[in-house]
Amino acid sequence: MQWANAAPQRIASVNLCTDQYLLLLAAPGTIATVTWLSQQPESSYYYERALGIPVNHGEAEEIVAHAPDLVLAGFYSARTTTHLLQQLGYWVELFDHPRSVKQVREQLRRMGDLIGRREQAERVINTMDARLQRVATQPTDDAPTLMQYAPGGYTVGRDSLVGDIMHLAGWHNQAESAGVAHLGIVDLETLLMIAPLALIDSPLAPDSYSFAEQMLKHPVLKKTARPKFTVTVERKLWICGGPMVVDALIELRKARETIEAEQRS
Amino acid sequence: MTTQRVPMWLGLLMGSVIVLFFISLTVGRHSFSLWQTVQELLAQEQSVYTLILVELRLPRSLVAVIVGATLGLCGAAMQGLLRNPLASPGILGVSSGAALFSVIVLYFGFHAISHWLLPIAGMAGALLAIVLVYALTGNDSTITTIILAGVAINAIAAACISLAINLAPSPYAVREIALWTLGDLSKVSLVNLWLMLPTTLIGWFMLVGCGQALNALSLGEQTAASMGVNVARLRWRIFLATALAVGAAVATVGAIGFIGLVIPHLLRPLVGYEPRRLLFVSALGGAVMLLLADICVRLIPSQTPLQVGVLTALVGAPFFLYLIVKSRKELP
Repeated sequence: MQWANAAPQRIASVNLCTDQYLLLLAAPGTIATVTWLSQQPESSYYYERALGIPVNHGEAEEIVAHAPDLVLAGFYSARTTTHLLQQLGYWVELFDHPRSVKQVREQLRRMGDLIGRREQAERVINTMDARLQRVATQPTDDAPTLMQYAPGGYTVGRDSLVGDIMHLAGWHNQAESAGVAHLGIVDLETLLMIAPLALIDSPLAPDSYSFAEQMLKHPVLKKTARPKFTVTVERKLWICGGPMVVDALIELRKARETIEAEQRS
Repeated sequence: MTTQRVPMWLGLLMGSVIVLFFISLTVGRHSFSLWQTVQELLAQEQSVYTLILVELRLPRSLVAVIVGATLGLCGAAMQGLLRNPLASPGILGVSSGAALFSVIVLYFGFHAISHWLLPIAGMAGALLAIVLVYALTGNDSTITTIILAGVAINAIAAACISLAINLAPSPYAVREIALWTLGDLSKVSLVNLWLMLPTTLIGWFMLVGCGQALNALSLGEQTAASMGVNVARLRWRIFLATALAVGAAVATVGAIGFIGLVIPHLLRPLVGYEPRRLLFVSALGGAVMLLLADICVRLIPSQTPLQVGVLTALVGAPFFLYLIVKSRKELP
């Protein structure tokens, strides 16, 4: 079942990040369903556009009910659903999580091609690139060190969207010195040893409790000289690919300039 | 025959606790000289190493000693009280009762009201479980009844823990269901230690004086009563003490299993099967077992950190099976 020429008219998405591309690029009325997450303001950048659209929870039954002519999914989310839909003959396209701004560009083009909106995609990319040109930089040798420290000790290296944005904002990513290339876990001992100047706080749900989140509140982090600063970036700016990652870059760059000024004075 | 050998075993166990405690301070992702770091501490210099030692490894090692001792001690006391080799906080559902109440307090924001709510909740959950088991089985019940009661309480508590964590607002909560049933020492801080210490110490002190009465009880309830032991009071004292100590331990590190079962068993022959002597020795043995397990999880290379409860279960569960097989042979 492949509609080679006509652009799909009932598109379903079972992943927050394919939701975002779709909400950004799709022609009005062609989105059949997006995930319930896409209506959450904390994690979905385009949540206002998602408000009128029927939501799904990644269940195959929900998707089939919409009789979609294209199903968009992530590589890792709702795997059983996408397997099942593929077996049932639906046209399923999988998107991996982008690992760089370059890959965001590629994914926007691919999405544009899939849904017959290449021109829109090119326009979005051009605007994004124009903004990037104004704000993107590269870390100097004496650039300050930053590290993402998410609940459970998760962090990212060079080969990740967040890692790429950190570099483009002029920070050294200290997780790289702990040997993290893509995604990794850094325990508290290692964090104290590699001692980044600042940590990124990108809260998923404020004021909730879990062991994982508790790790970031360990009293030792208040006693140590480094990490000294916390840089807060809203999750919705960079958990998915899209032109909003430039906003995350700007936030990081501003934070770096403020911290550098404070360090000098 | 064994009276003279007790001090030797006692010395050996105490020595092991001290040695393992220091090993536990030196084992971690990064190695540094303990001696040099202690000197820095004495000179009141602060470095990364002093922080790692004082804020991360010291609380972890101290909590391992305290929780291990609690589990060993309470296991010995419960086995003495119920005169049943399978009684222990884990098997009877006391730990899961404490875990359930702790999960509710932690994951639904109640601990923001007061940090002290956490050990208190753990204690309440433990007490509820213990009373339920006792109501279900009574005195001198068969091994089968006790295990069944424990299985039932454990199943209810486990289901409620899963339900609670599923409903919890934190997105990380679901992944942590396993933490509460397996226990984890890697994230404890000095704050956790101070919070668990008061109720733990009260529990320990309440158990210390029970030795003579437990000795008398080993001769049968009527004999004990004729020797002046108030069995009903003794029972409540041990229930309450176990709830206090195990509740605080579980609220801090989750439910670490099998220490309270295995340790009193292994050590009982060494103290001439005397319940009074077994108490202190089991506390030491429990500390040794948990320190050892926690050192092992740090030494075994793995992608994601291992849970210390996995190791104690890997050792303890086969031992539990062995006990069941053995007790089946002894039954008529």
